[in-house]
Amino acid sequence: MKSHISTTINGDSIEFLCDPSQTLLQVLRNDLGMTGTKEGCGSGDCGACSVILDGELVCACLVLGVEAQDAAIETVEGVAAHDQLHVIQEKFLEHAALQCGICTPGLIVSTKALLEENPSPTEEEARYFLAGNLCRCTGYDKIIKAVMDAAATMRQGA
Amino acid sequence: MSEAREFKHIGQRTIRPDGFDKVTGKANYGADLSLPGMIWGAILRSPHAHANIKKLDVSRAQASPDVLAIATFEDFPSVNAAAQRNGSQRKDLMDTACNIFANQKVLYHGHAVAAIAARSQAAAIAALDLIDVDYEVLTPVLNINDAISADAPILHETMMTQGLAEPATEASNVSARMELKKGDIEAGFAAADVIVERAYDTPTVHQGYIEPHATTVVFNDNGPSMIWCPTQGHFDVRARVAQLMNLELGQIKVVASEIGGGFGGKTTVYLEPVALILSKKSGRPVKMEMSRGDVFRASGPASASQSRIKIGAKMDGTITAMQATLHYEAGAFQGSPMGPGCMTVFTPYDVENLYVEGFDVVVNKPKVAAYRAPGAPQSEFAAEMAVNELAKKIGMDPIEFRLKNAAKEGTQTIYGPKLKVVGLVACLEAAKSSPHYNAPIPENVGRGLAAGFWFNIGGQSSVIINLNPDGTGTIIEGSPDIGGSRASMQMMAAEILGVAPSSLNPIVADTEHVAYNQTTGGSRTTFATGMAVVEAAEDIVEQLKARAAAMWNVTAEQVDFTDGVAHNLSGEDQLTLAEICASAEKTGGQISGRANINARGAGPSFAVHICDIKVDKETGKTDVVRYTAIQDAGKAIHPSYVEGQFQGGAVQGIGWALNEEYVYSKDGIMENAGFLDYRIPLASDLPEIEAIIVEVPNSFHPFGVRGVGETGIIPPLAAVGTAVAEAIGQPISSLPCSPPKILKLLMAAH
Amino acid sequence: MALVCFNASLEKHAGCAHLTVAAQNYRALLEELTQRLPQLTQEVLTPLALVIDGEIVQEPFLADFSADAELHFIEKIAAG
Repeated sequence: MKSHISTTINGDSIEFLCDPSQTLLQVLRNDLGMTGTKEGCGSGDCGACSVILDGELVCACLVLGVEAQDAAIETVEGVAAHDQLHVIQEKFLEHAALQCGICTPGLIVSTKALLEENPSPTEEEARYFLAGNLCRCTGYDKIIKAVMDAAATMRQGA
Repeated sequence: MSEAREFKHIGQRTIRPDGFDKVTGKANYGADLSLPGMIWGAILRSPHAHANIKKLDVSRAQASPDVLAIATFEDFPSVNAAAQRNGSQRKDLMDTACNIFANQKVLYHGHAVAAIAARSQAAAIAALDLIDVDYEVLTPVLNINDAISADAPILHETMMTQGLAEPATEASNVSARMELKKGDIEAGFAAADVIVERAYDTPTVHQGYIEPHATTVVFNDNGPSMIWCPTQGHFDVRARVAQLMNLELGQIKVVASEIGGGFGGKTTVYLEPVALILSKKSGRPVKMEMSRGDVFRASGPASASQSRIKIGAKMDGTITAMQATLHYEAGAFQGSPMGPGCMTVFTPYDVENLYVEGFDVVVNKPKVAAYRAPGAPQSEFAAEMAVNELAKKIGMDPIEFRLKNAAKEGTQTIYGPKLKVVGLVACLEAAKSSPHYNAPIPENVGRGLAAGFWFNIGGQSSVIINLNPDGTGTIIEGSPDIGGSRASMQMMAAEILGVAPSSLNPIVADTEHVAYNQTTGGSRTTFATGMAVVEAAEDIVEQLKARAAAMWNVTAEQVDFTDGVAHNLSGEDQLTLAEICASAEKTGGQISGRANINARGAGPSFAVHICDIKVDKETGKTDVVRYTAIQDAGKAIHPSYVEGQFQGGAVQGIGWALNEEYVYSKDGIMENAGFLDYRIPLASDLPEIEAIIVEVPNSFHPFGVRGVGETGIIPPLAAVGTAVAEAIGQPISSLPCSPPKILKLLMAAH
Repeated sequence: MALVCFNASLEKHAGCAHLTVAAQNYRALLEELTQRLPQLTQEVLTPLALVIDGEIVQEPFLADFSADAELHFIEKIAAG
């Protein structure tokens, strides 16, 4: 028997039906057509499905769809404002911090969560916070440079 | 040629044209396409590593209303007939088919046996229980020593070793032997003052792309069927599927989605033919996704290897002889990259006497696929470790030792040709003067250095450039973009046409909208597709000159085109590209340029890496504390993406050397088929990866480009291995240098 | 006369390590080699790339070479 869930995603009121066994990731991708959040492993080990749920950074594959009830969810699709990219997104592009781009949505969301929690991370703090986001293409070097530059720019109030 | 040229766009760090979609989640990858009426497929996989299929009974599944289609090996129309014929291509096709679906025998844990389509992914997976399979379990063969032993279980009854001195008389697990030589190896060792001889081994590793294989397909009786998939080569997907399904090429359209990593692992087919059969039988679009566990167990990892290296040198540092015996695991079917491994192993060295023997060995593991310079990381790891040990033994700095024996223009390789202009010496010199190499080695830290060589390839690329009446345009190419290559295509075309790169939109077209393009791989894209983009742009320049000439009533020879402007050499007039396009209707119609090439002249790329590693003597844990990757790019079109290739390759190599390996139970079950326990490097594991681009131009490319994608994974294995050996004061001969293994070495020393 | 150099594996089929040839293009080369060295068949040669004076030509069908070229056959390189 499916549950009827009411939630908020990127500021929009959304309703959906889901099986108790469905994950939030499956609901987002397969039922709501929001494919920006990616599946890399389905077991919370890669961070490609990172979303923010009631202010907390989580792997959507480890959250059940039914847990979205009355929650406020932020996904990568909500980071930019219309066509105006967020500073984090701009810095990722400027620093060439993506090659294939599959890990990028998860990293953008995780970086947003990092800088909301800690606007002045050291490089080591940034690397440890983002350790849950696997990247196989870049070796992380340009990603961390983008994150540190985004942090500095955001501190200046840009 | 390109040595002293000033470029307007080449060498800049532009924003990639596909970047906006990638940072906003709008870009569509392999699992992102859903279609109306779509159903889901799932695969039943073997629970045994080696077994005969005594019975495969789908009757219960057929009777179920939840099951909309079933597929097995029997559904490949042409393969059984093709199997009767001879020839290596048919063998390769048969092996591919038998890998996609087991044919009476399962050869690895996870080998696909059958597939079901149902209305949801969960329903399809649940319905797999309705298929009944009886297995006769056989003893699995899980490593080279077991595979080549006298009483080894035989995987393929018809496998007779090719390339032996005397023809093979009985079936074996060794599919082929290869032999390469130069000079007189006996005399070479006789002339040596010092010899190092050691055995090395490397484990099975996976490319580790974050995006699992996935596909959405629509079988169509009345027009081309459609396959949407993440692939490095959608034309080769089309060719494979056409062969397997007995279809003409024109009956299949393959759309390359954005791809979430490939590294060589997405150059063949696994799900696509299965999904197409299910779509044909159900009359519905079908979507399939591999789970992460299935990616590890049932896609194509890289060969495990065993190598024996022997190197001899004089006390003055001249290497007199180099010898290697290389064994590669091919997995369940023949075809490891043993050949390239043999060809590259000693190529960084100009040595008179060389002898290499290689063996391709089947084992009950998944069929290997390419992984970034396939075969070379394994063999060059062993060679570079031995070179470093020998340098140490004669008391010579590892860079000086390599400089003394470095391959350069005119060096005769073991596989035949003499090298043309190459950049190894330039990389060694850059390493010698690098800040890293000149920094003192910190306490408790070991430092390692290693070189690497890869051929790079050219091949077929087809490009069309269409200009619009306002002078903007589209570059239609067919090389799936695995690392930012569209930016480079934009820049190369802009350089020739003299327009802003952002005015040209590069797209990777599907198989219907552009002519054949060879797979993105072999470090070919910026080189070969770039060459085609340049030729197509030059084709446009000729047309622009002709149009301007027509407008001025002069001949085309009297028109010069520079920096986006046509000049009338016999007058004062000039016209911009945009102005010529605006008048195109008047002067004969719209302007398109094209090039269909088979690019020759790919230049090899050499690299040298330096690595500092700290080892915790109580736990065996390793930390990379400093890393520098130096590589010859010929000419870096977009330096950020060239650096990205160096850094990405380095980190994959670091993972291969420090932590990554397939762990198998004695029954051949992979015990760490997930990212938790198959441990790839994390952001917190690594320091900055300093990337130094060396440019020794390749004169065969209009801008001097050498491919860079692959070489970078080769040096890290021995740079890391040597650094660990230095840190613990003991030789390293086995990868990965994981904490339990290091701890064991440390404890044994006490 | 161009010089063909055979690697250790091909030497077994060819029966020699080197051969000078009159051919000046790939197709003529294959004809000449298979005629003069019967153990070296089309089946063995056509899957291979041709190296002409150090340049690896993966698809040599239309390739020609000078009278003093040095030629080698090698396995085609796979992509990764």
